[in-house]
Amino acid sequence: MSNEFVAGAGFVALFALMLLRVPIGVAMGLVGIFGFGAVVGTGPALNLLAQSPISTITDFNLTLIPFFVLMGVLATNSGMSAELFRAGRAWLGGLKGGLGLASVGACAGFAAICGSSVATAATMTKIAYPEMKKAGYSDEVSTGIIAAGGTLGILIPPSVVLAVYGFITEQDIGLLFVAGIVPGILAVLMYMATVRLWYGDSLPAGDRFSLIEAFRSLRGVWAVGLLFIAVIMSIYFGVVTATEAAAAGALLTAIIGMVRGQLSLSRLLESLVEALRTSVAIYVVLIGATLFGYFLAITQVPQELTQFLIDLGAGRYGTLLLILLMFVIMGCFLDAMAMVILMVPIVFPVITELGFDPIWFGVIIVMTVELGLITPPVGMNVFVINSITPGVSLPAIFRGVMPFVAVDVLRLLLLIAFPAIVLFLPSGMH
Amino acid sequence: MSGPERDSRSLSGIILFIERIAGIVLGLVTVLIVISAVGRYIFASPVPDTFDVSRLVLGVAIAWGLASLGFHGTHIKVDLLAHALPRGARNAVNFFAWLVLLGFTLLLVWKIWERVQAAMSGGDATMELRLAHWPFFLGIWLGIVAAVFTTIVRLWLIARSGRDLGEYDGIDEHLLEDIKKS
Repeated sequence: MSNEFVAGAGFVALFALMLLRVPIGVAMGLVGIFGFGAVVGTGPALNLLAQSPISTITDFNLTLIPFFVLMGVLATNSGMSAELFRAGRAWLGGLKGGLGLASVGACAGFAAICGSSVATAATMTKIAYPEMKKAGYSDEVSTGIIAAGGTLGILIPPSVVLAVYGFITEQDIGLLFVAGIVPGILAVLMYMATVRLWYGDSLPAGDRFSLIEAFRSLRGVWAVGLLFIAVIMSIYFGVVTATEAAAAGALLTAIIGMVRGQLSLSRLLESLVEALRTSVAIYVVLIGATLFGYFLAITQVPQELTQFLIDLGAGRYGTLLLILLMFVIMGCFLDAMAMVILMVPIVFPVITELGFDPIWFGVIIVMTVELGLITPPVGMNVFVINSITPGVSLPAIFRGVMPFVAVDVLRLLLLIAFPAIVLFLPSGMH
Repeated sequence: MSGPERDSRSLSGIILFIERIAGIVLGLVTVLIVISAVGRYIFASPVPDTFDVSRLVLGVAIAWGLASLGFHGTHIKVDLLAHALPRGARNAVNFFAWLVLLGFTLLLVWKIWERVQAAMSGGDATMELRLAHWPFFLGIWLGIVAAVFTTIVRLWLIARSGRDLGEYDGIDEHLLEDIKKS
């Protein structure tokens, strides 16, 4: 059998298994083993199973994944989101559309301690949606704002998806996190501008707060500031490794939650279990991806794809846009994390061959998969909001989020045109 | 309460117990890494073998977590086609998917046992305290054996009572329930 045939058959089998609901990691693992076996023999292929899965689950560099997941779960279960929204409302609520602005701000603050978009959207739906509804916002607008704001979870560091990208491409996770800061701030500003400019004066103003009250509201958000500084700044200044920062962040979140009486022992135990479940699901995909990597290496798919795309003559940016388009299309069907783990090893050689910066590409890819969280047919954030607010239909939420999708595309193009926006901060890193 | 339902509940209890132990292990490893980092930076004296012990112990916790995913069905997977199918066809798809998972898990049991034996005879040990690797690998292997058991139970539940698979969405279903209640 030729390598081309094995590669083609492998990808057909992979997509067929995934469509038939076989866990993505298992589908990748099986195709990896049998594809590798078709070229080099069954014995050596099966022997990969003796080494590779154990190496993956005992890889020290990957331990930061459960820690960041745990930090996010603890932050969610400690009720920190309510204080963020309260502070946002105190500062911005008096403006027209102020509650929408406060929701975006609170999502951003929460994203700074939680690396999950879905958790950010779910938590903010609980806090912000009832307030916006009470103030007279339509369901379409309020849920659209929250769904879009939720996507900040995987962009603003610490981001679990960025961490996994760093592991797969062997890039410094600290650099990736720092690179996500400015695009994250840009996303917040552009979302806020969308609330103001798109909906304009049609949105009502909320209660006005005095300056003293506004400053008082900041007392509730010190924990978020402390956690962000502890994790991101310590990585930026090289005080600790990313893994240590993740562990310290998780421990601090637990301590803060317990000291403030918002995290009981049973809730802490639930959080640990929840973090474990989420982390194991990610690890299974990583195990599969490692096995799939042997298949890619032996069939030389990435090299063939690189050559094919370069031969198309679409130029650097044309090729990049083709790749991003592929991610957007796949985002309609695949989970963001799974998509990064499956597709990045295949397209990464193309990106480096074309001379793009791997750190910049990590941020671009995360922003691209973000789109999949709020666009049909999967749109995970939209589904989660719908499950919490069953009275609001899915089409209504999708309609509400569309202006933000347009802004996301605009932001993506901006960062492609001006990579320095992403890279100037990490380039000054210690 | 029907037979499969009762058995499923008692197994849920066992799985939750395993998850809690694995979760506590995750918490302990978190604390260990922080203590070691503080020791290294402030007292110039890290906890010995933090690197090896934390990764190996966490590996055991992750392996036991596989048993939980096999039972709950919350692996990361593509649910789009399954959701579009009628109940009977969806059951068939679920059964096929979990049968494939069972095959993969059995392969892991077979090959990782060889790795355990190799570690036993090879004398692999941690860098500083010279703790043998094989007990950790054995812990990992036992977790995967448990995953075989839980995957078979889920297959039985799919076949007998048409139970669906849980969805992975990066958020715990209990949290969503709490949010709905509040």
